[in-house]
Amino acid sequence: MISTSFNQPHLRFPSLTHEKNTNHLRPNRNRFIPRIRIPPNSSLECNCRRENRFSDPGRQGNNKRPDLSVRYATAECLTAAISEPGLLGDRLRVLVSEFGSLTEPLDRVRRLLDYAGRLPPFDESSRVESNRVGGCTTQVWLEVELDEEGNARFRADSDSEITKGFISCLVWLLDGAAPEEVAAVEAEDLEVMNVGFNGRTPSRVKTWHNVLAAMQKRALALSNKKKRKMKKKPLIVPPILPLIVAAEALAGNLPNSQVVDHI
Amino acid sequence: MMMMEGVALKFPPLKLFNPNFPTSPATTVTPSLARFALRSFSSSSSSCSASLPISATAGKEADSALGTLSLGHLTRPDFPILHQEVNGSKLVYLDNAATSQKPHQVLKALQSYYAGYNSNVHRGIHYLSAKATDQYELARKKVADFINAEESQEIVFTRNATEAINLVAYSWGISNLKPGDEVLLTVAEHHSAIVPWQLVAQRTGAVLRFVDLDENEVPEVEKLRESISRKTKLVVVHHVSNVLASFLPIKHIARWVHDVGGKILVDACQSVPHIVVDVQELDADFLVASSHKMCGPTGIGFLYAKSDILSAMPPFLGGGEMISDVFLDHSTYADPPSRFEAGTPAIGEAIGLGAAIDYLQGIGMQKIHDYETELANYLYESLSTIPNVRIYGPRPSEKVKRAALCSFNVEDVHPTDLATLLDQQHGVAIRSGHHCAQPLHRYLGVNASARASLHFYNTKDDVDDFINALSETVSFLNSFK
Repeated sequence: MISTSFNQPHLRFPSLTHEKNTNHLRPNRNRFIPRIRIPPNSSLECNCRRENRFSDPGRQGNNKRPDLSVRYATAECLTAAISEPGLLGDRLRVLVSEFGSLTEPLDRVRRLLDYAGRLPPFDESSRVESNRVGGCTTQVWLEVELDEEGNARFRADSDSEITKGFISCLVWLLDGAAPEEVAAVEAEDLEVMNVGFNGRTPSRVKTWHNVLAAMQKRALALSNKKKRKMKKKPLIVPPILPLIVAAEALAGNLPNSQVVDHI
Repeated sequence: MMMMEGVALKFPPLKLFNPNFPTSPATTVTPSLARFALRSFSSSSSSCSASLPISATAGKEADSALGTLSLGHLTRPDFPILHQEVNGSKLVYLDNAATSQKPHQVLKALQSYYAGYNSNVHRGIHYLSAKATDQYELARKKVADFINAEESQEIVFTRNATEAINLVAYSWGISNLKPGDEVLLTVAEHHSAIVPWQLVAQRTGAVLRFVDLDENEVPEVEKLRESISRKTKLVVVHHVSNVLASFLPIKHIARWVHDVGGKILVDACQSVPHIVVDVQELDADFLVASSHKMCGPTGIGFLYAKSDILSAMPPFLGGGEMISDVFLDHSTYADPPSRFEAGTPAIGEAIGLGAAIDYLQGIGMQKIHDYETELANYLYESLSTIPNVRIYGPRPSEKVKRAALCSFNVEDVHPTDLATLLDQQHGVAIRSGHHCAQPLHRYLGVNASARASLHFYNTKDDVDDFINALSETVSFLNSFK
């Protein structure tokens, strides 16, 4: 059984009314931070000197790797871009393990709300229609770019705190990964993140499925465009091209009728 | 039986007031007598009127003797679905504007149909078919009587109100609207009342005009009146708003539009289940409603239209049942309502709707309206105590009545987060989103809202549970900011 420090009984459970100032946990993140090389099979736990509420206080200052079969992410590690193949897989396992260990639905919500607070600020000017992710009950904005190495970089935001939590996890998971790696993540892999009693509340599932699908679609589109431009190769048809029914595609304008402005 | 005992155990000893002996003292009854009283209320069959326990019909004096035994308390035992736990908490169902729950009389009617006499209607001559046809047409008559239509033939069964509006749009609209004709709506209309007319306007060249809200967040009735002209061929308005909880003066609007030779289509989805609706008094040309919002099954709704209008309308859907004679190159069509009921209808569901109407009639729509007005005020006042809450629609007063629903937002809290936690932690079912009224939300300057909506089987206890849960949830979410 995979356990995390979170399950260890001697740790205090984060309370509902925790300190409001979580700035010390917010990553100081630029858009394109240098990739942090993390050796294979190493713990994703950084030698983080800052206090992290999910770390074991008994081991603070002790650099010994905990005898755990899972490595949990710390605040600073959440900021580190993926630098090596296989790291996305590691992060996925961490995420699944972390949320999978939270058997109480409220704990998953708390965790998501905490991660929501760690999402980097999103420019107000980027909250535009072209950045919207369709099909969500909440508003979600997503910006995708490729860095110099052709890896996908994501920035996202939402008007819902729980959705921001989902987004925060997704960005942590996928930021800096190759577009093909991004496309390979299956929504089912992340089911444990769902909130709700049985974890399958359709509208919630739909929201972050849509966000994941949008991240995949846009990353692949950028990658294909870049490849076409640079290498003039035939268009690579991505294996996964999620269907997002764009409202715009189906919206009917009224070419023959004139909707009079509001009376 | 188990359910009834469970309900009875929750009540304190009942004191029943007998109106036949107004001077007799209130009598304390045992739980077994309470069960009898409750069972006798709910024992009505689909073909006879239910009678309330005498306490419920005896007026204020009896109410005070009864204490907290409201219409909600009296009717809850009839709704099996309400007596369950969700996510570890007692279910508090406050999403009735989306769909209502069904009393066991309706469930029984459905069961009886499918178990006893399921058969295709109108065509067969055997016993089962004859019985099914009789019951189906009886359901049509019940709907007609419920809204005081002149005759049953003015009721067309559809899948729901949305299909009914589409029927009017594609049948009446396509053949009557010309370029430049105006269809008048409000920004508060449901998508089902807007989109069909957008589609028809594209094809006919008609123009859609939308009336905004006034400072009380009600469609501006005077502006609506001023906008009606000789070009106005149709006014499409809600009777009761599913977001604002406001009422529109349909009778007056109908008169204004008739004066210019136009017609009115009333979306009565939120009114038929909750208040007395009389199409003669309203003088509606078209009126639509859905069964599933009025304690009936899903899959059935109806269009009411005046018989002279209906007779002149071409078919909507083509197929069996709506024809008179079929040749290879043409067909002739049946008279209404059959002309608009192509294919095998939702027979069992129509019969279930009939049973729902019997149930509602047994309580009395005026009684339901009075009780829900009380609930509406209680909900509004209770919700207003939540800090930073914004409730949409008019403030209730002596002159201004609200339906028993509140769409609202809490500052800096997304309604979907609220609804998620209310469900997950407290078993409270509300709705969040745009409630099929995106233009209205855009007008109000919000992307989404939460909505709690009540029906006569809800109680003030439900409202209290909701408010307590909401308060806790808001505090929890705010603690993360």
